Amino acid sequence: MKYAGGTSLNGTTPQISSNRKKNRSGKGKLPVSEVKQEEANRCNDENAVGAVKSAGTPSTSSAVHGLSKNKKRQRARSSAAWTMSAPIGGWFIPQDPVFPSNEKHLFIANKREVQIYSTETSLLTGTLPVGSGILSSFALSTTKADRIYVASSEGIITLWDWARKSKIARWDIGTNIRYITVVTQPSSAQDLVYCHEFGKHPVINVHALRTKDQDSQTELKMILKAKSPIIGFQVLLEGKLVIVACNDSVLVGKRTKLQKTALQDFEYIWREFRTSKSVTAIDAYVRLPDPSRKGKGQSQDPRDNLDLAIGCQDGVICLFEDILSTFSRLEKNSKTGNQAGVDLEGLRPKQLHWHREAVRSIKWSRDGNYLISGGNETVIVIWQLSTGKQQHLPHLTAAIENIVVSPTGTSYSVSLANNSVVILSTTELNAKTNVIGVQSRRLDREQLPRDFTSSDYSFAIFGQVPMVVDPKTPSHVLFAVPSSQPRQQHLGIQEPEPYIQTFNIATQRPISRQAMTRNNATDPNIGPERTRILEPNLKHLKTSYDGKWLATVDEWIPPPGDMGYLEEGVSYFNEEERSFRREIYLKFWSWNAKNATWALESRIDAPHLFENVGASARILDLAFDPNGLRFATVGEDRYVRIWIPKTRTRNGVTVRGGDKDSTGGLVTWSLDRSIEFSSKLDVFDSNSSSPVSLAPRNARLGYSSDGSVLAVGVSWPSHSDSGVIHLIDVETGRIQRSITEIDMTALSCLGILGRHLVVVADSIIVWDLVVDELVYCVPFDAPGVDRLQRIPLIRLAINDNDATFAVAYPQFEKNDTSKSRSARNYKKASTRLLIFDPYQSLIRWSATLPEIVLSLVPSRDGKGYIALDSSSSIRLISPRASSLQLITPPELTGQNTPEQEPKIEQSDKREEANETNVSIDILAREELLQDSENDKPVVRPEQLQDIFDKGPSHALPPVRDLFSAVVDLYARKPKASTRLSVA
Amino acid sequence: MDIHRSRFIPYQPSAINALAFSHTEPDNNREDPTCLRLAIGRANGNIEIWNPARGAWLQESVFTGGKDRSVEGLAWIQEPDERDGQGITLPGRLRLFSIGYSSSVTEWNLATGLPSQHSSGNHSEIWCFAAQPKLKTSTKETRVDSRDNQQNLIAGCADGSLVLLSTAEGELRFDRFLSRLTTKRARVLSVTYKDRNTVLAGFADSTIRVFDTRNNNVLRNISLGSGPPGGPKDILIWKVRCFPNGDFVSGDSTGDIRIYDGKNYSQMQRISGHEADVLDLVVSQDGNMIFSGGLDRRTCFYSCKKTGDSRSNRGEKWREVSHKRYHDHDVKAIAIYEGNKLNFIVSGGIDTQPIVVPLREFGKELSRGLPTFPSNPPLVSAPKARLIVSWWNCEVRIWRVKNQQEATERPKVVARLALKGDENITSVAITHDGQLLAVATVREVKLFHLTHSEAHDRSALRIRKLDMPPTKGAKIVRFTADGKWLAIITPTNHVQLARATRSGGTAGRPRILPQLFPLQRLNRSDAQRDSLNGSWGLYNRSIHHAEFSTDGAVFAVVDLAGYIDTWVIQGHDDATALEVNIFDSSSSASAEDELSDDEDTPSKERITMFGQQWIRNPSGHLLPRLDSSAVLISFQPTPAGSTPSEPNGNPAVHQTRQNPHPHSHDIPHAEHHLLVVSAEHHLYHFEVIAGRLSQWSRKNTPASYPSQFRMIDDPAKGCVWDVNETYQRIWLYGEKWLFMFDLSRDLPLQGPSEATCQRKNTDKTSKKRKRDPIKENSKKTNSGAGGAVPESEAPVTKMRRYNGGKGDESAKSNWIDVSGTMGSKTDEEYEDQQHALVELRRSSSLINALAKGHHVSEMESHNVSKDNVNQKGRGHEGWWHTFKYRPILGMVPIAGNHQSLEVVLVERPSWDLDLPPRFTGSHE
Repeated sequence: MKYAGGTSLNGTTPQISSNRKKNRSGKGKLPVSEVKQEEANRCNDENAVGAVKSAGTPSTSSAVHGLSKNKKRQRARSSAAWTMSAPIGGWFIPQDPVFPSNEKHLFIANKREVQIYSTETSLLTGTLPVGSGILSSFALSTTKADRIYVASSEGIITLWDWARKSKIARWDIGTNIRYITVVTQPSSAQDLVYCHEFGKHPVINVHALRTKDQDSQTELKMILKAKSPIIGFQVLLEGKLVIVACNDSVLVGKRTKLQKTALQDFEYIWREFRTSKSVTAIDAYVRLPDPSRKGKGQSQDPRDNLDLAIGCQDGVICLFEDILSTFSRLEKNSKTGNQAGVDLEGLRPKQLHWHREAVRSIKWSRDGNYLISGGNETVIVIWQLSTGKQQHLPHLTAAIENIVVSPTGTSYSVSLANNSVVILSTTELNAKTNVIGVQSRRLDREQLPRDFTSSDYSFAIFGQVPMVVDPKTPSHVLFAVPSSQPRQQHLGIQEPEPYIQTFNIATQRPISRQAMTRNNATDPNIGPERTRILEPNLKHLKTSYDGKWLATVDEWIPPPGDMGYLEEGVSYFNEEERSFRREIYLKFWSWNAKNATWALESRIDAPHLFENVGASARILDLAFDPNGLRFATVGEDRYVRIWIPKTRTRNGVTVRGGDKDSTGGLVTWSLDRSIEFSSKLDVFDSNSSSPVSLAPRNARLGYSSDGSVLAVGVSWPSHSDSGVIHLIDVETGRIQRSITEIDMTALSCLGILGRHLVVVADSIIVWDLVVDELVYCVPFDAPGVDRLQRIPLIRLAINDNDATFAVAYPQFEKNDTSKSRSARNYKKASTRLLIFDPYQSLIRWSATLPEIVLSLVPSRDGKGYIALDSSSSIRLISPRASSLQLITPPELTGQNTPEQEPKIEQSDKREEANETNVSIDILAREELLQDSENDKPVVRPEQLQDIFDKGPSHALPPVRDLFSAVVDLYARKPKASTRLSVA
Repeated sequence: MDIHRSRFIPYQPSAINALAFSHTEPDNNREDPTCLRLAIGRANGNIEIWNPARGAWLQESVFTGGKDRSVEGLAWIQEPDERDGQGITLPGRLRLFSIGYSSSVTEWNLATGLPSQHSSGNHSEIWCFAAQPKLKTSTKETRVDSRDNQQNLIAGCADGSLVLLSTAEGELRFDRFLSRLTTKRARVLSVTYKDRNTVLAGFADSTIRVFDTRNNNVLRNISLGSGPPGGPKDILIWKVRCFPNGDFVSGDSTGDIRIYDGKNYSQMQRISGHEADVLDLVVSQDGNMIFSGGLDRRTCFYSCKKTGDSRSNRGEKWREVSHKRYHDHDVKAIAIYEGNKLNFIVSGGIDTQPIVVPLREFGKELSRGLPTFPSNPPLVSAPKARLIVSWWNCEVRIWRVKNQQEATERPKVVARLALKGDENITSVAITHDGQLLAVATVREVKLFHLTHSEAHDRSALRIRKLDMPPTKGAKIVRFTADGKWLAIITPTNHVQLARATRSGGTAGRPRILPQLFPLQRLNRSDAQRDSLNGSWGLYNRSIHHAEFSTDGAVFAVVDLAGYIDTWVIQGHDDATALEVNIFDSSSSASAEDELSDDEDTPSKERITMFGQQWIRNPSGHLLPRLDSSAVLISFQPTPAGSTPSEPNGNPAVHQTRQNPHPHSHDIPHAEHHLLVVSAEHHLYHFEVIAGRLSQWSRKNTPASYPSQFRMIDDPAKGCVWDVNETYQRIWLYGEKWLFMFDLSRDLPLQGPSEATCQRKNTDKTSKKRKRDPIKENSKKTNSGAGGAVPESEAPVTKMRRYNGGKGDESAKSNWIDVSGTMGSKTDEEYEDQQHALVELRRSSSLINALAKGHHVSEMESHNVSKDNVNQKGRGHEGWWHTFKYRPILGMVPIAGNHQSLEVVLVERPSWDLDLPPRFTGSHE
């Protein structure tokens, strides 16, 4: 029979539970198929309770018993079992970085906190957490240099003393604050906060925020209610001028009644002009009158010579000089009705056109002689206005988002679209400071499917980010990152990810970034057709067990626009032609400790190939052997290929690298063997079906932890065939067993945890490989996604160390207001994370993450998992107190209560291999304690030999593994006790 | 009508090397001079004279050059004004000079289009030259010597010497060397007068030198330093221009323009607007604008800050406002004219198209591309033989076009001719049967006989040269359809006819009678005197269009002034008559000059050829002078069968004793309709024999033309007739448009509301750039460049002012339209008058019809048809148009008269031109 998800499971779960009921005291409710969240949590607790109790510590057990009644404290318990760390990383908000006046620090904010970096060392010196809500803006006080205002989107403005990292005051404004800026109130030493607030209309308010010890009152004055969304605004000359940029118009506000300085007397005359192009960036500069001619009378309202630079969507920078006087002239003319003599000199802007794409940021230099602009071209352009000369700083690593000129004008701070901020010296344009965050794929709220029908919208952008933990230094995680992720550029196109970033999660600092494929960092990134040249995309990333080797798979396919010359009108053929031109490389990199980089050793072009058409077949999964230097790939061409290193020899002499002082010679990786699996199990069917048309929908690889068994799960696009799992003997390369009992049509992940095979398809299935039967099957529901569309969105991670596995699946919250069924209007996306034990269908722990988890890996150094989500935050999920876990480590108990019935019934090598590495389960031991005390494990010497004589001493697994293997031998549970009665 | 849309003709327009306006500004700030002309010098040696009057931009004449006679520079001067005996000031004569790759300066005779004199001197090749500015006659009492008021020329040579050329007394001669640089021998790349006595010259050794012409002193050497690292050491100063206040600006090979103080010759500012060499620049008269063009295809616009206070910042008040790529290739020349109404710059370069950019209205008006191709399409056809002929430079090519059914392959070249000598071809004519081909240059007219050669290749034509009587060359040649008469318009604007005969010669070869038949034009007495027309020649009277009627019985020419001269044939073709019968043999060649005003005795000399002679159309004087130059004349083909059959037998009058020189006095009876299209897009439809406007033309004034037609700013280039019993269609075309009018029906009258509807419709339907209604109204008031910039492209569209805060006035305040609308009421009034007139004429014809007893139903049907027009659209309106084909080189009929019309429409898109590789920006 098949154990599929959903309804068929309902039949089996009670059996499991009844089975278990027999053995246990019947305490607690067992989960049924439709596990609700609350229940799951409680079950989880009970599971923990059970575990604790079985350890024989009555004191805690009673305490737990008391706790279990109280729901609130239950939750405390549940978090006691596993915890999720605060997010690490995350993108900086798109506001300009802020320099304090001494330029010793740089303030950058992400959504949770304002981070203070030292410009000397680029190190984080402190954070100002916003607490609740999302940080939206911050601004330095102009009156006191050590004060900073921080605004959140919930309308809370807090005032901090950033030097002491202490909160001074807090105001609740109660509106959605988008942006704030602070000026000094004229004729007083107090701050005025200009807020862009978003309610029904975009509004700019001036707040006089006062604390109790100040004598004046907190006041508010609205100065502008805009009709269209405000992009940004700028306040000049202590509020005398306010420049507001909307999408298609620019407003210049001039304060009237300058002599009156009370807040309520802040009245502005607004002059608005429409622009035909949409404005993307704006900066204003006031040319102060020449100090040499000061004698003329400074008091009588000197004409403000306002120069306005506007960056437009099409790349033009329009420069309006002295725009205020132009306005007044125009108004005079229109008043007198004199149309003919309108002098439009001032409204004929100077046009600076170098950018091809939208100007993302533009700033005046401090002296007003230069303009600094940047955009998607990754080039900073410095315009010398009087000569028209341009200076370029090309080849920045990513598109430019914000440019700030420091208060003294000695440096520029440039924030880039790869979540980094660079401080450049203005003289030599050298990078002085470099602040880098986690650069992995970011998915904005806007990128959630909104107006797309289900067929149009591709969930591919939620696909997995390749990520591994470096075995050498378990605090280092490596993940693929795109070169640049500019804001305001989305709509479902996934940026290719040609780089890997190494990030230290312990110190929360980036270590390095390295290109793994060809990239456009120094090449032109725009083709002759004005389309962007796309880099190859890193699809898979795995390290070897020792961390010395890294295998990557990158894939490139020509964009559809470049296939126009082959256009035949039939989209299917076009797609096929495109897929023939796909380029796929499998690369093997060795760790170069001297340079601390990965060095490319071997590149395999088209590792999987459709022989008959000569086209590269996609690699569906890459796996590494946890015990040996061996990588396995599975491709669309229905082959599993195993790659091994070979020391290069020339005429029998080992070829050594030039600078290598190591003993080994040069190593090339090559194909060891390839194992074909047919599309059908039956011979008749395989004859009839053409091989090319039946590329698998998905295929997954899983090595057993001793590396002897490779499981390949294959799902086929046809609905008649529900897929198969082949178990391959790595040594012989033969398929030993093909499991067809599991419905794998929607196979998304697969892995081997000890003796169990974990498959995530429609439901989470755990299969005991030793006894070859189902352990349990838990269905889950990812709302908002189709059954097949969710395949690439589900993550599975297996941690051998604590014998758990974690499953993460997305939850899309639909917008109920939309009536049409087909249009997916999603409000929110979150991820449900479940941690399982292979022996029990109990959910050990569960949590909901506010973002989509793009990658989930087990941590290397111990228990727990590392999750990378779509806001580029890394979270660590770990069992809470290791001391609590230490009470019942499987190793210790296993030794204390040796198994009595180690029945080695099958001589099947595969099973044997599995058995050697099976971890002990608490439940099983419970049974043993009760009814099989006489069993003594019989350990044959060759089994021990298997453990210790695996290879030369340097290739041996860590002592810990050896130890657990020995323990496993002696503490095996008897087979019969876990055998489930399967009808 | 079947259209062969074709691009196979490799016609190569020639690059623009030089541009010059006859005036840079109106004299004493008066109206724009009527004599304002633009001379365009091209790489093939042609000089084109364009008239920008009223924004029409009419290509008036082409002075043909020849092989290796590229025009490298152009300059106009104007002689000082003179007073004649009655004390009337006669405007001074305009003179045009050009330089090529030689050591001489050429002066051109504007009336004939021939070079009139060359300068010579013992110096090397001239690279640049400039004319001395006119003496500002601010004080009238100082009657200066005419010699002092003369505009002399200064020329810069390849060896670094500067040469003064005197233009006194209508001559052009070497005066003296201003400087001889023997040490560096750097080329003089640009030269200009700062004032009448100071000359600025830009050299190739990164130096500008200032000379005093009175004493040959070098006033100053201004060095620009060395070039940028990595490039050549010397900076080439491609252009120096002077502001009216004495400041000057240079453009050089680094792409910079530098602005210098005129007093102390120090550099004030340096702006780099170009990525490559600045080849030319112009400055405006008010000194506030600079335009530069260069190798990077850009045209940059710089302006000067007017306010003085910002100047305190630095001494730098100039800034680059914007740049734009109007051209597809290097910009080699720019010219500026700054008048009261007309003000624009014209730029040209290797992409061969002149572009007009508005000057004062920069940013508010669009630029405009002038036609690239000659106004007379270099394309003729022999419809019966399905041959089309095109020519350029010294070369003629003939193609045969297959039928539509078998036209799968492209047309084949069946003959190629390359003329001996280096003169460019001015005109080509071919008979309808494709047997005779006349090719004219300004030196000679050659005639060829085309036959099918049966030798090896059936498709190729065999070409035999025929003897021609000696001619002085021609600027226009025309054949009658039957090939009997060949009209030759000489460069000196004399009209001669030659008679071809098919019989006689050896082996059935056609023969040209040795005698030419001269025709006299009417002497128009009211020719005005201005800078172009005077005792030295009448530019206005130069003929630029000539046409035979389709039956060959009427011949018409039109000149630049808009006068039409017509002649009719007298007598009947009589093969038995004497070939040439001259019966006043006392005449000499100079008889032509002794024109008498008496119409009855056109000439003392009477020639008949085969019993026929040409006389002036008796009612020819009734044809009015056109309001502007004609751009097209064409005879409407008489419908088949309507030609009067010749009386049976031999109609000719035979020689008798009483009449030793007999000739028939019969002139054609049937009415011949002549269509003339003026530069202002007026369609004049004349009845030539009767000497009046046709009914259609009277009833359809320009006000009733469809607005789409009135909006067109390119002049018409040619037309093709499609006439049968049911309709009389004329297909007019310009470089970018194709219009059909049915002359058998009236155009619908458009009320004002209708007209706006139409505009809306066109706005909706036309995919091209939308034309604002403003443009049409203000067409006559605009600056001469393109129409107003649509609002969507202006950087700032409108602005308003309001108070913010609580009393939010944003809803109340009104937007001020920044661009400001300019309407002209006079136009509308004029149009209303025209409407009234047209309605009156039409209704009167209806009343007449009623009076004659026609049915009332016709009136109803008239109304009905009008309604139909409104409902069904243009199909029934008697006109049709498309802007699909562009740019059109020409359109010629290819099938015989009696089949359905089949035309070849030749396009020559700019991307198809074989341009040399671009210097910069090849990666784009």
